[in-house]
Amino acid sequence: MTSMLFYLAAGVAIIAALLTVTRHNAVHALLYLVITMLAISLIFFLFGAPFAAALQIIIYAGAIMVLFVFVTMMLHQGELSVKQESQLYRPAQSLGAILLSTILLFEVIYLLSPQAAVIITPDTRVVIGAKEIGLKLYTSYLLLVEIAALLLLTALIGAFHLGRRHQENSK
Amino acid sequence: MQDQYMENLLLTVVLLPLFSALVLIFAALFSVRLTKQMVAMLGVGSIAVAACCVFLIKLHFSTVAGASFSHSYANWIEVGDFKVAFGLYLDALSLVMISIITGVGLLIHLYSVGFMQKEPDFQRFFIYLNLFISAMLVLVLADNLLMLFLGWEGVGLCSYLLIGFWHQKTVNNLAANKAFIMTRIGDTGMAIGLLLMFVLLGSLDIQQVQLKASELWPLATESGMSLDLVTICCLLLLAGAVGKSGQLPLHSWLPDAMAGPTPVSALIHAATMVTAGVYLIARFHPLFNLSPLAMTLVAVIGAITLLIAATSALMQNDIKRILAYSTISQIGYMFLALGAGAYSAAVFHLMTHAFFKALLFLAAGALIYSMQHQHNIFRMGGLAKKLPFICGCFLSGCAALAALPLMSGFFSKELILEKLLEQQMYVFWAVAILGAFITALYSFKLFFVVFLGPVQQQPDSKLSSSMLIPLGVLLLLSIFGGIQPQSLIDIFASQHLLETGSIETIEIMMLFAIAVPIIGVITSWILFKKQIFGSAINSAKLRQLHQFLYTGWQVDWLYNKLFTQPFIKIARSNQEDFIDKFYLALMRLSRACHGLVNLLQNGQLRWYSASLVLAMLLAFSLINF
Amino acid sequence: MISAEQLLFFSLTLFVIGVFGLLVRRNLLFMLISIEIMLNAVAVLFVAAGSYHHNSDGQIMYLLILTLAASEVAVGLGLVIQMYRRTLSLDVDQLSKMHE
Repeated sequence: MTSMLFYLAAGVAIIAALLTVTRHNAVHALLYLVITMLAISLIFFLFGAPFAAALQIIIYAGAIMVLFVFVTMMLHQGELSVKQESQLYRPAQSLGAILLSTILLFEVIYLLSPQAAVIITPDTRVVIGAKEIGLKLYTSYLLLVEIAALLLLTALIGAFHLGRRHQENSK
Repeated sequence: MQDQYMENLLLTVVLLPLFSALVLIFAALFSVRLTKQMVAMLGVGSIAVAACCVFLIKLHFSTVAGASFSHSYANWIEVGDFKVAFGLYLDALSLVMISIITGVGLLIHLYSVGFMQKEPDFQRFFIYLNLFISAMLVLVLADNLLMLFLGWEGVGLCSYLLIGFWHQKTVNNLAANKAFIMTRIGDTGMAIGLLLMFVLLGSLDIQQVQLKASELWPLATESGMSLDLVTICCLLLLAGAVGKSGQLPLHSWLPDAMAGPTPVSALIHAATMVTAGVYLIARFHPLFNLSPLAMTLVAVIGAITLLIAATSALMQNDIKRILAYSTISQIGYMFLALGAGAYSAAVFHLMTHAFFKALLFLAAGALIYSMQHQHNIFRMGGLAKKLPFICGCFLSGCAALAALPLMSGFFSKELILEKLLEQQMYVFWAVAILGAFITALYSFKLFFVVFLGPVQQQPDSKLSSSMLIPLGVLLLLSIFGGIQPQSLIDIFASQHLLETGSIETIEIMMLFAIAVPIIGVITSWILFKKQIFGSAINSAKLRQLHQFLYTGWQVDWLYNKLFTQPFIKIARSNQEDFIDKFYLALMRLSRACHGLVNLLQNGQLRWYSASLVLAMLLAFSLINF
Repeated sequence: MISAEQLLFFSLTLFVIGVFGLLVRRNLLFMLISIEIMLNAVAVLFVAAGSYHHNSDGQIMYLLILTLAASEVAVGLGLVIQMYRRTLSLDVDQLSKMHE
């Protein structure tokens, strides 16, 4: 049952991801991306990481995607944008990219297959919950939290600065 | 106490002209306006006082028995054991020289006041002239090699500045450059010679150098024609002397130097500076005595120069160029005398030459002045009645130049010829006699054409008394100046003499020598009467000969072909510096590499991401295989 | 049940899809989306590895990735807006001024 669910989720995630990168309409692409996120969230559940799964839905599918959709809505001009995008991306011309990424895929799988064969099948019933994570996070990984906080602050300032309108006209 | 008196006098002589030059320079720098009278007072006055001091020195020097006097005033350079002092050295030779310099210098300064009256750059002229006098005095009074070289270069500089005095004209600047560069060739040789002597003998003091030289290098005996160290030293010094005195390989600057004002030609390019070479060799005569080869070379140079310059002078029609070539020729006589070991005769001729050549130049200047800057002798003529005084000056000057009996030049030239005979240098004697004949020919050609020829142009300007007085004094000097200072004979007395030829032959030959100039004058008169001078030449061969002699044996053309053109060619071929080629190639290579790398930096984000992925692929494949 | 090989294959496939998207798209917004997919692929790997070892470190790493993604998106979208304002297009090929 679990493996079936995994295959299903994995298949959905991969197909949705493929659709995401090939869409002309940004809004469609984002919706497919949300589907990918949800599928990955399900996989997290299957691995016994309910906290991560929840975060995946709340932050990724929720907050970050909302940001994307926000910007897309701001810049999207309906049919015009789709037409422009179809000028920019033609599936027929993506042969080189397909070739490169396929080679990459096979190479990495070839590289990692010996290690992968050694690893035993995980026990999915063992659940690592929010409590364990929280305990570890605020004891041994405290420095990491602070660094993350700093990173977020930097991003905040950067985003604020970049998002400002030009002052050239007023000057 | 007595020495104190001497020291001060000597220092005054050297520093006074320098002082007045400096005053004039600073006046010009701080734009203090001086009237021409003030400039003249300062310029001429300083030389006059210096001349008086020289006179006092002369009186004092003859009473004090000492053969020489030297004193060092201050240290110039002091590094470890190496010391160079500001020292002055006075003996009979330098006494004669400073007398000529200040005496003739004073007369020429006085003359310049009149001659340059209309010149706007009056002050600059006197600055240069005073600077020259002081440098020349340093040169002849120096007691060490470095001081001597300082004076030597100083006079070279002033000569350059004065030749190019009218610098608005390109020709004058070119002449100045030519003079400077050609003398520089000799000066380089001389500087090397001075350094060599310092290295070999370990001293810069002229007297010590000569003492040590005679200790170190005993006189070469029969096999004396070898190229030993002393000969090399002498030859290097000779190079300097040849450059400065306008002798054979480096003489072609002197005729062009006539571009300067006439008083300058008289002072620098006839009376004083060009004789510095003669002075140098006379000063180093103990050294030259040690090297028979160098002595012979000096004589050979003198003889050849004397003939070439005399024949060139014969064909010139510019009055100043005639005089310039005759100067070269007369200095050739001096070199001949030096080469024969007749130093006192050489210096004696130097002295008389200074008198009569200054007279000739100043008279020529007066002539040019009153003929509205006419230089061509064939455009003048019949001036004997119009300008009787100038005519008299020229007559006595030419007579002295041609060494007619009882003129000053006669005594000195006959002395040289006699010494040549005593040394049994018969070939040189013959050359000198031939030279004397040509000298008489061209000097009287000049006189006849200018003063007795058909009337061509009227003189106009009146000559001021400041020009006439120096002429009068020099006129007297060139007639009666033929008295050899006894002291000169004394200081060169130590020279070795070969046994003389039989007295009778010498007397006969001397009579012949006396007769030759007179024959020359008569020939000149005959040619003049037949109107050969200045007439058109019909034969093509003769015309070629005339052209050849007129251009001074085509020396300029020869040097141009031999040195200038090849040098320009070499410079051209290396115009794009071949060492640069390597660096240019390096530059092109790095630029090409830059271009290659630049292809990656094309600003296309997708290229960057693609290359990232590609690099990832390569890295993984490296791990894999 | 779920073998490590399968999981690895899934994660790598997702990552390569992201790489493909990054290579093939010229729209800056889509490139950002591709990067999100790649980040997710790595996140899956981390969480899976954590559960293999019964260790919470993997999820902590995931948290960090989440933070990173949030920052990156904030800055990246700021850049997207700025670029759109300047060039009225999201074509990254037009941003080659640095070349000159």
